[in-house]
Amino acid sequence: MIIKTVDLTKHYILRGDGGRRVIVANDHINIEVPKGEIYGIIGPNGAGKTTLINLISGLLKPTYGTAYILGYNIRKVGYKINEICLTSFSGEDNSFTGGFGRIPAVKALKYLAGMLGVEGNLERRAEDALKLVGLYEWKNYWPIQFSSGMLRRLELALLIMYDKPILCLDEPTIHLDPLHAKQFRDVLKFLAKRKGYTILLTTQYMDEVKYTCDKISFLKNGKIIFTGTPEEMRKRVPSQHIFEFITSSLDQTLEKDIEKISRVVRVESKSNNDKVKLRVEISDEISEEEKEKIFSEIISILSEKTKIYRVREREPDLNEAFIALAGEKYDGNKEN
Amino acid sequence: MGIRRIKKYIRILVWGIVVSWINNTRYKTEVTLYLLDILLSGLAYAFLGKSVAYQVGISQYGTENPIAFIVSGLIITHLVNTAYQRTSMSARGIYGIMKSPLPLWLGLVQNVVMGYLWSFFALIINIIILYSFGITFNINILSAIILLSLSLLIMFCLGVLSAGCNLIVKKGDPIRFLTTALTYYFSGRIFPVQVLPKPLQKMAWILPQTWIYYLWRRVLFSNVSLLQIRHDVMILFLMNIILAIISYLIFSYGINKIREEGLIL
Repeated sequence: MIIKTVDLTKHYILRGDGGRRVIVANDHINIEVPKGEIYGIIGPNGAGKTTLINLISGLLKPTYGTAYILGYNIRKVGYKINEICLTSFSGEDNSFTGGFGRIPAVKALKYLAGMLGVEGNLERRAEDALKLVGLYEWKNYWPIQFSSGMLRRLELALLIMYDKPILCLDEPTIHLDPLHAKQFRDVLKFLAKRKGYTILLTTQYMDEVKYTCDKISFLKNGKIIFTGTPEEMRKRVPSQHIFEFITSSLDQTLEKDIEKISRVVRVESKSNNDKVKLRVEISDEISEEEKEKIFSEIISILSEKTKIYRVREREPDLNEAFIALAGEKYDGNKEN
Repeated sequence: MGIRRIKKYIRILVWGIVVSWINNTRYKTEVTLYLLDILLSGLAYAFLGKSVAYQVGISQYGTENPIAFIVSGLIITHLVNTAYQRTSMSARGIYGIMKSPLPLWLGLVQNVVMGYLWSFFALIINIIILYSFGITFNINILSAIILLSLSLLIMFCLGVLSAGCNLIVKKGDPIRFLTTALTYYFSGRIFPVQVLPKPLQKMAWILPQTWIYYLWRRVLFSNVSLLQIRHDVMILFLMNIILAIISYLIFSYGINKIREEGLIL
């Protein structure tokens, strides 16, 4: 295993007027990440994702347990693991500020890498890194004029130049639009699958999880409550059959009527201007015939008192799985 | 530490200088104004020296010339203070080095080296000012080398101590207060210590900077040999050892603290 944590635990002492209070940010975390895998750490805000990344990067000291990075015990090497085999990066980091924003990208990479101890033909290595992240054609332009997405890929090029086999990325695509985020994720996949990098990342974006991660752990209140593939996580949603209706109006009696139908697990509605989005979850263990029967019943209830504009049946997505795992109610607005 | 590793570290430091040059010279107006500012403040001090004849205490600094006294204060400041200024980093800056592939000590040293590129220009400008007022140096090279090593080390240790305090208290570092506010009045940078009231004079000699300014002026202007200043150098050496131990302990404690608590600023 490239990364292995053993009961990794971190306690913080909360400050303020509320008296001394200990919070368990990470509670006996056990994960294993093999070579070439992209491993996602997900969970709601405050679940302990960044703490976990910082513990693995040696920037924080564990309260209990430890992590082994390429066999190095993090308790012994601490933050020096960043010198040895690991590169940590936060989506908020920006190395190309000041004068570095005002020289050609390839030179900025070359100088920064040289300053950080990278050896060899730096110009060639910078060009190779730029090719990898898809910025080669921009190599002679100033980073300060790059878009956020390009800058983030330029940061990644710098990380590649460090040539450490493990990347620990804390929300690497934060604030990026879907297109730039996808370009960034493409590079991560390439690095893992073709170059053998082992990547541990935290993210809030379920698109990223679906597209990038081979395996994920879901953290809640500092504990791992799920580990598996994104598809396995998606299947954790209680209901795997969802009907969605867009109607003209809806009163509560209609909702209650639908709820009374056998095998209907949950009914939720959300108004948007003059239209209503109705979401009906149906129990998992159900035959196709039963499903069609339930569907017909719903249609007949709705068509009596409201106008139906659109109907669709779908499987739950990762956002819903996230919400189900986090123990919160579904909100139609959060849908991608 | 093998030769290969030493070579690697030297290469990293040289890259630091290149980076510092590039990082700063991209803003041409800013650089021009910076150099102009050094020139103007150097000249201001020189004219001040010309107009105000120091009657008290200059001679024991190895010069009778007020201009030499006052501008040399600036020169010594540029020579030694960078080692302090560039090491006295914020908690976030230290955290940045911890995240980088560099050893922490090398990151700190590199930051100092990067700063010296710019102090070098300030040094040259002020030396030119001194020459333009007809003042020449009379330097003992061996004494200068020993004194340079000791004063750089002492300022580096003070910087590490200050960085350690930043890690612990986050804001309002007492070492910075000590090295800026107190140094300004008590170190003999602008006026001789002898101008101060007697009790304050005694206090002034507790500051390592007071010894640094005192010894440097004597080395620059009166060609004092190492033998002549051996007792004073020994005091500076002892201060160095004490500061090195204290700064190491405080800095390690600070690092441990942010690794325990996280970077709460």
